[in-house]
Amino acid sequence: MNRLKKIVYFQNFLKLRFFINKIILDQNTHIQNGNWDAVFETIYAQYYTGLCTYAHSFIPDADEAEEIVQGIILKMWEQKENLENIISLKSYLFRSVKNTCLNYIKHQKLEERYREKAWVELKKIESDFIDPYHNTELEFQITEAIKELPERCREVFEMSRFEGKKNKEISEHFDISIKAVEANITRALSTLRKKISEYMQTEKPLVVLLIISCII
Amino acid sequence: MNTEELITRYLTNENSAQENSMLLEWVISNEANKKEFIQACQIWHNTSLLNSKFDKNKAYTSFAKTIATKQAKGKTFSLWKTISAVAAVAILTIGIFFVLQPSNSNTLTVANNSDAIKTIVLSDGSQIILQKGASLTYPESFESDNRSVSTTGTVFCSVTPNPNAPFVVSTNSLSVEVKGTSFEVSPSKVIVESGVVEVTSQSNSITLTKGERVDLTDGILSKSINNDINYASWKTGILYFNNTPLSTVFKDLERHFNCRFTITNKLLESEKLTGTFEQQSLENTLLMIQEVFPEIEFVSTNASTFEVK
Repeated sequence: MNRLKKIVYFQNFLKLRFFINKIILDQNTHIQNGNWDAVFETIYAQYYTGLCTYAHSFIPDADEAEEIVQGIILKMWEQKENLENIISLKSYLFRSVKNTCLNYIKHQKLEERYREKAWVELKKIESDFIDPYHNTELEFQITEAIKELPERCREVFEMSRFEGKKNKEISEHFDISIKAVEANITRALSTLRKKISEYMQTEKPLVVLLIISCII
Repeated sequence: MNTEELITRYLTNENSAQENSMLLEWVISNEANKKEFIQACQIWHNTSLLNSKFDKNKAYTSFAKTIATKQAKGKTFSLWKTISAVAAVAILTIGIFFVLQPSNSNTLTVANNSDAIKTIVLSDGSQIILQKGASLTYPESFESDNRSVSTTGTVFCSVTPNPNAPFVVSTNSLSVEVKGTSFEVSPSKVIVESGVVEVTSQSNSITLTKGERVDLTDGILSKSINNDINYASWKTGILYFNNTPLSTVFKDLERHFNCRFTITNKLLESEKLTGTFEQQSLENTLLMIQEVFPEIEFVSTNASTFEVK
């Protein structure tokens, strides 16, 4: 091992120590001080919308999805002393949402949808590929590609995705048939997929244990 | 109807049961179809990230209200908690006499023979992480009132809470009962990361809460505080040292990397190390230690044995 390499290693080591300490400190200072109001305020301010959107990707009904997230946070509050052992609050929250939603789909038999074997199977296949965090690169590519869609196609797609409107509501808004709404969404999906398939990962993701992988 | 339309109708939740069956059949029939389906789903979900119909301020207000009520009711609440706990124990005891029916679902066994750790997700969403050499036997799907698995070797369990179905992990020598928590089990010890578990051996039974551990020696369980912060390093890949004596550091390294150190320079044992090693190879770890203590010299006698001078 030559001298230069050694120095690089040493610098990396210092960086590593600094970053990890800082990240864990930032996250856990409030927890360690028992400043629960601040902890839960942060959860709502930083993660709530993301958590709901993530839950909504499993649960078709937005209100139900929001209720599940509220339930998880409330449960965390009730067992808040356990939080001291959590290394990453964020990944803990998103993991809880995924587990709870999959469990909910499995056990909630009131809603007809959840009794459908095929739908539950499709959700399971899909769930492995839903990225809970912002995939900025992919998101950027999608935003750019959406701009290039034909006008009506783009309007319908944006209304469906960004405003969360149901197909029926969109058909009424544009005064077109529901079939036409579906056709526009299908066209948008198909065009987007062809344009950006290279940015998407479709192999089953590995279990990622590396929490802070960007340091070295 | 073509499959692209079926995917759209699936994503907008408009598909009939029959249409979903058709779609599923198409998706699982080959890899190219599955890829197309997944890509459509990914576009769908990556656009919804920009969707902001969820109102975090309103949600926080409602949360703050709920906890304020809960705090006000704190006393009655805990009284009720005690009463319901007593009732639950009574019901459970009675229930056991009635519900001792054998499981009829398929039992699966998974052994981890690889060097990497292996994660198994059970039908209730609980996760079991197997260390090298560990194995897990579990039913394909749990019954509604009973979740039992058995293990050999060291495993780490994150259990999905379900008050109606206790989760029981058994080894040859002890069993752990839990209602939603995470903990590590090996044949001779149990360490709790969060929640409460009950550990039973042939001779006695002990309740553990977070941060505690129990060791099995000569068939007797004994409880202590877990001082070993690196107990789960095999799972996390992270070693923490906080003003830790080098003698302990090397012991943790031995366990983590499955190697041996002989410390010949006794002066070193009293030196202390602070730092975090995340996903590092043994070589890098030793180099980093050397950077902090330039006086240390590692001499490897073979691939996994080192002399510390």
